[in-house]
Amino acid sequence: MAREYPLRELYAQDPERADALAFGRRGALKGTALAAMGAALGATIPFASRMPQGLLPAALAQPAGGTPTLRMEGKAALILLGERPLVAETPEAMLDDDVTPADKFFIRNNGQIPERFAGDPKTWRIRIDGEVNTPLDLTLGDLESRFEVVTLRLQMECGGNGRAAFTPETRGNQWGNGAISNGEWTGVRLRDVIRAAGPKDTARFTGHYGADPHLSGDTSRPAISRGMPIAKAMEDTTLIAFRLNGQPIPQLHGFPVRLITPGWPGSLSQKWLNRIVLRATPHDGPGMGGTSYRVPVKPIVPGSSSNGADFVDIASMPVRGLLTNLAHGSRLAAGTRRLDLRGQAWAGDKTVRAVHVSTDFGASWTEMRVNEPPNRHSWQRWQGTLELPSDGYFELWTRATDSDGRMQPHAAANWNPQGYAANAMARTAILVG
Amino acid sequence: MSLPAVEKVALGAICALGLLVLFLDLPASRVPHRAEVLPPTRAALATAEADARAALARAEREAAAKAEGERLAAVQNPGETEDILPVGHGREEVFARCTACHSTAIIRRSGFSRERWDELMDWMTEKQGMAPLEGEVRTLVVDYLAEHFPPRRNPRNANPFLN
Ligand code: HEC
Repeated sequence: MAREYPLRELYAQDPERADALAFGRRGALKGTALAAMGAALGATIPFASRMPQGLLPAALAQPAGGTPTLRMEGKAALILLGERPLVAETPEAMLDDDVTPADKFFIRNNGQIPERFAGDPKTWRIRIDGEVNTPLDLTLGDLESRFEVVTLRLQMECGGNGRAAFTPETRGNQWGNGAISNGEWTGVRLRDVIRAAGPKDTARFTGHYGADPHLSGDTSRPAISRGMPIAKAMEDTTLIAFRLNGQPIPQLHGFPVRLITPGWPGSLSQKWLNRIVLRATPHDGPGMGGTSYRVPVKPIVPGSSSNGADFVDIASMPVRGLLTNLAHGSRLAAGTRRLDLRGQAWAGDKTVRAVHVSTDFGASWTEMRVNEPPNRHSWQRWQGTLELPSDGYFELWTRATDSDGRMQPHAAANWNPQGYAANAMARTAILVG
Repeated sequence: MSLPAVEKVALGAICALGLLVLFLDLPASRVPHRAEVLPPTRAALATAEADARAALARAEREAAAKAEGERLAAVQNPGETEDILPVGHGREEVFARCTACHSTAIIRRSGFSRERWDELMDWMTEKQGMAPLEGEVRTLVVDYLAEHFPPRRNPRNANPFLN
């Protein structure tokens, strides 16, 4: 092993020296260092001179030992980030479907997974109370019969997606870019249910509760309980959902009922939903306040401490694009020059205006075609072709631009202690020949 | 995975349905032995049949829920032992105190300074209900964590505003 990955090892032990060795004084790879790097990767690096100083080649940034894989009935081979709480990420190349199949959904639990509700699912109860004139105690059967049932393709993304790109590393699950899904959800609009309860003028925020026990087993403690401003709750794409891709929602993903709050942090899509309280003030459950799902308004020094008092709650998630038909680490036949690429892109409450791909570390960009979303808050398919100049090691950098013209940055921006809302562009390493 | 419960209920339900069928198919010529037993009405039969079906459905759901619970429990309990953590003074205490709520993956993925680890102990107590960690044990635990799970920092990216 030590012989096989000299640079990788050097990077692990002494990155400064490795960087100096590999990149030379001005950060350009040259001479014997280039040969060493090439040998380490088994190829030459055609755009080495444009590789920014201090950025590890994406192939080297991967842990050498590989990551553990989830092995579980009903789930694809996701990247296992933790067993308890069970957390697993979808590899980017598994996100190629326009509608994410249930087995490929990423998994984020904050508590224990509750026992599956063994009663007739139609008898599952949800309470709507707080600042309303008529508190409601509805069964799933009531929801389906009393309100209009809609089916929409909706993104659901963890607020910490992309977190691993932060430097220095932050707290939280070290997600790559795969904590995203775009399922076809069937349910009723939260708006219709809130209206049926007769919201008072003071109903300005929501608070959500689910049946998952706290990790400690303490039943007086919700595992997580977040809430949102009423405007988001009243959007016509915010659903109380009971079917995913035409089937009952899998237990792991919130059976029999969950919220889907597309475009905002996934923690607002409460699983195993059993109560929504309307409030005059922002909700104060676990996962609210401090540095939880909050980002600085005035940027702080990366790595510094903060209690988050002057941070703001994350609302819409930032723009992001993924390449989904070529896996990171793909090896292509010698002589391959033309690449047909495709992927998905999304931008929280906004839409994606453009996607560009670069093979030369951002020196030049090729524009891809981006489809319109089939409905609001669905992700968008993009596709296009690229030419490669030679065999060798390349990184495909994918950069999406939202409808306001904001692009994904090269590095994760607005560092925050719990590592939210990082949307650095995705980098896919490939080897031709 | 054992299904004795569902089997029992299923058997019961099948017997009940069988009896109902017998009653229904009783030829008119065959007079019941005991004249005092009146044949149940059609409505009563329908209700009994529906009850039996509901019992069967409930038993199936319960068995499915139980089996799923066992599968999920297996995934959530990787059966870790102390040696999943690096050897060092304090490992035993860390393993004992830190795996009641979560597996060690959450610890092993982390890389913090001693100060951040120390803060995290208070967070775990205040927000997550961990028993307060104080005095010598706290020093032992935090020292171990800081030594074995330091920030995996690239010195080149070190921030000039931090020391
Ligand atoms: C009473 C239960 C409990 C105990 C005991 C406990 N923890 Fe935790 N810990 C939690 C919960 C709950 C979380 C949040 C999990 C999540 O959101 O995924 C957590 C999260 C963490 C995290 C991740 C923090 C972050 O934001 O990245 C670390 C690291 C951690 N615990 C370390 C420890 C250590 C070390 C110990 C032993 C000193 C310990 N825990 C004991 C409940 C506990």
